[in-house]
Formats: sequence, structure tokens, C-alpha cells
Amino acid sequence: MTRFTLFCFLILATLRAGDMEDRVRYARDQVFPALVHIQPVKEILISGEKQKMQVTGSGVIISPDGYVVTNNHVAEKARFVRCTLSSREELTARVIGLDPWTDLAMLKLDLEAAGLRRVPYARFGNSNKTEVGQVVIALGSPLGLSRSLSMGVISSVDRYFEDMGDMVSPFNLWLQTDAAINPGNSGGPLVNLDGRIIGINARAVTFGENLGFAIPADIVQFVIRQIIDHGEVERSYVGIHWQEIKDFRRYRKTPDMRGALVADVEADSPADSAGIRPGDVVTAINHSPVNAVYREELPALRLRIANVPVGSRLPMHIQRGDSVFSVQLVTGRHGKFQGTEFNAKTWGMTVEEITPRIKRQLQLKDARGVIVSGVKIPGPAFKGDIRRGDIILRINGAVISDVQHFRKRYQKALRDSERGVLLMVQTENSKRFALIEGVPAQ
Amino acid sequence: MKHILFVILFGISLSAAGDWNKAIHTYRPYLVEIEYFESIRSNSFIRKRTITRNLTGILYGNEGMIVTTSAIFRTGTGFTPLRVTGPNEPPGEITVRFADGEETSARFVGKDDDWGLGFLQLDSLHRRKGCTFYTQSEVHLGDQLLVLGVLSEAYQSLPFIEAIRLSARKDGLHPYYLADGSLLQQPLGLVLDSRNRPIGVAAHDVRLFKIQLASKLKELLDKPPVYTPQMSENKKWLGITMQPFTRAMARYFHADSLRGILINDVLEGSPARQAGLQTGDVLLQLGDFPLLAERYSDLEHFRERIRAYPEDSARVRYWREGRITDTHVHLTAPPINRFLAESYEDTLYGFSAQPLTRDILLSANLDFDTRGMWVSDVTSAGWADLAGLKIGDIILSINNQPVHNLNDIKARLQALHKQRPAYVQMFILRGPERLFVFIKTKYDTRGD
Repeated sequence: MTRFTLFCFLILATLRAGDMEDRVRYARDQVFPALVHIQPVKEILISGEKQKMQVTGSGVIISPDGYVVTNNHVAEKARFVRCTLSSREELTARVIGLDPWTDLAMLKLDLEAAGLRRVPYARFGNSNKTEVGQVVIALGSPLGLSRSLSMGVISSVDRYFEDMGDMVSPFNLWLQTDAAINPGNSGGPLVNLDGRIIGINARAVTFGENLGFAIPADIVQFVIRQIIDHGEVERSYVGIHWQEIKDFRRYRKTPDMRGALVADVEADSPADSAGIRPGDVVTAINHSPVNAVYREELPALRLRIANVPVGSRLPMHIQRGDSVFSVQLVTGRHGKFQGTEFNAKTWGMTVEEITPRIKRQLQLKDARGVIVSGVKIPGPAFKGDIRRGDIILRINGAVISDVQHFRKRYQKALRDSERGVLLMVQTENSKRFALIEGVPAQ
Repeated sequence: MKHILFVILFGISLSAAGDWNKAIHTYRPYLVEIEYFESIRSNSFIRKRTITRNLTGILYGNEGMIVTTSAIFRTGTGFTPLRVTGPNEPPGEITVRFADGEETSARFVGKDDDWGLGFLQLDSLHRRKGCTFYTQSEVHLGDQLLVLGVLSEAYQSLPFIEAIRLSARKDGLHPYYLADGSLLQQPLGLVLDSRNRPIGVAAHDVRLFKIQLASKLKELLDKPPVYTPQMSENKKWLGITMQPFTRAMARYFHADSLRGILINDVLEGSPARQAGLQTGDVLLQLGDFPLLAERYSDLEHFRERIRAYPEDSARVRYWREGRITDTHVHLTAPPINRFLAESYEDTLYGFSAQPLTRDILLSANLDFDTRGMWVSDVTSAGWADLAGLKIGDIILSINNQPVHNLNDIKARLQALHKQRPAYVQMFILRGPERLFVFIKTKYDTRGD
């Protein structure tokens, strides 16, 4: 009897293993033909001059007419994008839109040039229904090894990351998987066993093992729809920094309190103008209740505000101490992630716009000036002691407001190249003068 | 003739050996080994609060004074907006060991960073007579001198003597000679002249001796600086940041012959600001001393001059937009830095905080009217640490009550100790962001 039971168990196990392999093969067949090996040639300003470099990433075709989803960090600054399909056909693509806030980008394959009318594509699944422990496969080009597949399970469906430098994700949580994800997998699909895309792989922890992260498909679908319709993702801004209320309601001894805590209000923002203060609890936005007890609930709250059309009137219900009241604010436009760059070639340096994000990161009192993004060695700027990260505040005494203004002053200074140019620069908290020496007349 | 020469050389070498033995015999008793505890501030996981350090020093005079290097208290006592680190309190539990093996305690008196020297005094019960420096000796480049020091404990604290030759000289307000010397392990030695008289101290740096003569140190040795908690050093402060005004800059301003120091920032509330000096002014003269700076290292002369300026008021000549003007600057003592500020420690909540000194405001790029208390220490796994409070945070309010100064924070926390709440709300500034930290207290389980 015991032997018979064991025999049955082994048969069942073998069948189940076979079943699993079949399901993985099925999922692979649904997505593999739509997999794209992406090699953008980027034109970037680095070390104070314009340089070209090729990187490798992954992507997936999501429509028969050749729209491809990938990561922003793969496609940004691409001058030219070369794509290789899993059929090994090579095509070019153009960048349709970028969204650095979610690290997503949209490409369009040039089917006509390749003599193609349609291409195989993959379909999205519902990332909201993803469960921890669910088996998934990741496809892409890890370390440039194209058409690779790895398998694992979903380790977490709501991983939250604080923003760190350029690594930001204010509007989404992450799917965590132990399927191997390496550099080059970026932009590739994370697929369930039904063969549906449930995420776009974007990050991995380099000093850890089997810690990969994908942007959930529901976020991806929203972003690509915005890019296809508008060419970009337009987001509303109110200037509130949110905090979960878990400990706040313990402190207030109101365990049933619902809402989201205002941690900080940016000066001159719509929230500031509406009189919202740190310590307020927002209980409803647009007459619909708000609740962020845990920090994992914050991205959805930010997204809810961001998705309101810019310029909308947005009523908010506020609880301040024991009083409850409403305010109405008009949303502004969410600031740029990366600013405009300018190559001051003659001076041997490149400068970049100070966006609200950079202003906050560097704790600047205002956004005037431009930030030095690179210095050519050797070069006039290097000789003048200008270094990457310096902020140029003045040129020949004139206050520099932004990149356009810098460009004008730069061009004016070039016309009087004999005298030299005196810049006022700021490094961290100290200011100093920097002289770009003039060129004596021949 | 060759025989005569040999005899003379042999005689000289015997005489040298005799001199060296005599030098050791005479002066080794004045060389002391110093052991002390330095408090350290660490964000690391292992929070070692004090470490043992060792130095050497020279006992001099009749008051039990010991001169050593200023490394005995590594924290700068001057004003600097730079992010510097160092112990926030002077060395403690100082033990001095003499050549005969006797050990005695001493206290930290003070230090002078410009001279690079620190001073201790033996406890009165154990006073011994120290050496007397000879201040009339004249030395010149190329002179041969002796340096007497002490080897480390690994070599049983043996006396060590080395002949050195003065190879370079630095003039100015804090002059010194340099000599090649790579063998002495300990940082301070006694310098003897050709007649075995103690004439100065030799601080040992990498492969070099920095020789400072007692004739130049006389005032400092007779009246060493006295460290006072929460007080800045007894030096002057102008309150500007500056850079060399180079020849290229002079050409830019069509003032080719102009030489000086360019002001690139004037700090709020500083003597320079009160005197009307502005960013872009070129300082030409301090009193009768012309100011020249082509390189950043040249600025040190000016800093020295300001710090050691003998009067409270200084005449400054400066150039602004083609005009030369004289003004008088009322020089004041520098503001205290974060390491000298009084701190409030709450052992129950597990953190220390201190007022926002100017160096903190400058390094954090904050406005001078920012009000709050700077978190200088957080006890690992204490209540505050578990709530996420970090060193460098600025506490703006506690339970919605503003915290502006030491009295405020003491009052707030003492009130909390009476109220014994389950949660405490702190509103803090961390980098560019303000946020709330909620501290879960464990008043009921205290002592578990």
C-alpha cells in the first residue's frame, strides 16, 4: 500500500513538473517573438563635451504596428536606436516619448524601412492580480546576452523605495522577483505563466542575489497611453510631501483616523497658497476619501493627484488638530525631471538647467543659475577652477537666470573673447570667482 | 699627517658619542609619554565612544607644564564652515609617564592650532621641575642639531637621538625650520643645539621634522592658551571667504599692477560685513602689511595676520571698481563651532542636541534665522534611533512646541518625562525636507 502511494505520488509529481514546463514554454511562446534587443546610440554631454556611446537594453513589442516599451534609462538621449527582434531581423526605431518619473520609454519600430507590415506583439496582463509566490519569467538581454529567459517567483507585489538621487519612483510600487535580472535586462518584460506582461524589468540590486524589480503593468499601460496620445505624461503638482499616518494616529490616540499626513509644503506651491501646513491631515481629495496608513499607500496617493489635469480646481478636506475644513487649490504642472543641457564648447564645459528636483536635492535657495554638468580636461573652464557640480550664478556681473540666459551671455562673451570672462560660481555652500582667460588678439 | 687627521676624527666621534650620552642622560627625564582618552562620535554600527591615544611631550618650567602637539585635541577651536570631524570634548583621563616609570595624572590646558602645539599641566600633587629652554641661541640653515625623543612602548620607550640638519625655513608669524628625519616614531622631540642646550621642539611629520625654536615660542610657553568650554579661541575673525586675486584677474579688470586678495563672500553679521566690505572687493593692505596672493596657499599668511592681529581695530585698504578706499574693521572673536557648543543629552530618549552654530548653518546651506536644535548624537537602538532620528537632523518642534534653544529642548523633554506619553512627535528638518518622527517611548518598561 505504501509503495503504491509513493508510486502514485511520483507519477503525479512528474506530471505536475511536466505541466509546469509546458506552462513556461507556453508563456515563452506568447512573448518571445515580441522580445527586442535594443542598442541605442546615445549622444551625451560628458566630461564637458559631446560624446557618442552605445548601450544595450531590452524591450517588448506591444502592438502589431511596432510600438515598443522599454526603460527611460535605456532610451533617453538616444540619437539613433537599433533594434534586433527575436527573429534576428534588425530594424531602426525612433523614440516616441520618455517618462523619467516612472523610468519608462516608448519606441516605434520603422517597419516600412524593413519591408514589414506587422510584427508579433505581446499582451499585458493585470498586475493587480499578481500574487507573492506566483511563478514568472523574465526575458531580455542580460549583460548583452540577447534572447535570454530566466525564471523565478514574485517575491513582493508592493515594494516601496524612497527616492535616491536619480533613482526615483514617486508614483509606483515595484514587483520584486527572484528571476535573475542583470544589467541589459532593463526594459524587458516580466511575464506570468499565461504569457501576459505583468511588469517591465528595471532595477536589480547589484550586491544582492536574485533581487530584481519590475514596474507593474498597470502603471506601464497608463504611461504608454499618455505617451501615445500626448507625446508625454503630463502630471499635476500641488507641492505637498506626504507621510503615512501609522504612527501619527498612535501619537494622537485616534486609531481609527483616516487620511494622509502633510509632512512638508513647498514654498509658493499651490498647497502653500491654499494655506495647507505641515501636520495637517488630508482626509479627502476631490470629495473622495484619502487613506495612507502605511507608506506603501503613498505612491497611489501621489498618482491620484498627478493624474488630475493640470490647472484643475482640487478641493481637499483637511483636519488640523480638532478642526475640520476644506480648501480648494489649483494644481500646477509637475516639474521636469532633467533640465535642458547646453554645451559651452569654447569654454570646455557643459551646463544644465536647475530643475525643482535639483534645487531640492542641492538645498538651493532658488533655481537661478545653471549647474555645471561636465568640464573638459584640459580646457579654459578647467584652468579657471570650474568643476562638475559647480553652480554658475553670474557671468561678468550679470545674474544668470537659466540655461537660455547662460547661452546668450556665453555667446556675447565669445564676441569679446580678448577680455576674458569672470564667473561667480557656487560650490556646495561657498561662492568664489572663476576667470576664463581671454584670448589675446593676434 | 694622515695619522693626525685620524686621531682628530676619532676624537671628534668619541666626543660626539659622549655628547649624545650626556644629552640623553640630562634631558630624557623631561621627555614624557602621554596616554589619554579621546571621545569619538560615530554613526557606525559599532558605537565605540572613547578610544585610547598616545603622544609624547616635554616637561618644562617649574609649574608642571607639558608641551605636546595640538593633536591632543583634534577639534579645531576656530571657526570653519567646512564639514570637519573631531571629538566634541577635550581629552580626558590623561596619564603622564616619566622616564623612571612613575605615572601621574594631568589636565588639558589648551592648544594653539597656528603653532600646532598643545599644553597639559601635571596635577599639583605631582609637580616636577621641567627643563628650561635656552632662548638666546641663533640657528641658521645648514646648522646641525640634535633631536631627542622617545621610542614607542614596543621598544620599551627607549630614548632616541638623531642628528639633523636644518634644510628649509618658513618665515612669518609662526616661523619654523624643516629638517630631514624619518626614524623617530613619536610625534614630539626636544631640539638641542651644538652645545647640548634645549632650544626648541621638533614635531615629526612624514619624513620631516618641523623645528620650532623656543625663542619664537617664548610667549606661548610662558602663557599657554586656556581652553574654556563653549568659548571660541582667543583669536580674531574677519568673516569673509576669499581667493587669490591673480595677475589674470588684474588684467581682466584693466588694473594690471593690482595685487591682493579677492573677497568672494562676506558672512552675515561678521566684522567685514559691518565694515561695509563686499563680495568682489580686493583687499590690498592690512594695517601696514601688503596683501599678496597668487595661489590659495598664499592666503594662509593673511589668515595668520588676522587671527593674531594685536589690536581690536584694523585698517584695511581695498579696491572696488577702480577706486582704492581705507576702512577700519572692528575685529571680533570667531563664532564658536559645533564642537564647542554646549550640548543637551537625554539618555532616556537616547539622543543629544545642541544649538545651531554658524558652521552648521553654513555647511547645511541654511538661512541664519533658522531656528532649531541640531542632533549631534543618537544612541544606537535607543528610542530616538528606533524612531528614525538621525545625527544631523534639526529638531524644529516637539509635540508642536517650537524648539529654538537649549532651554526649550530641556523644558520640553523634562515635561515629557513627567507626562510619560506613549508617543512623542518631533518635527524635523533633514536635508531639504521637513518631516515628522514619532518616537515610541517605553516609560513603563524602563530598565528592562
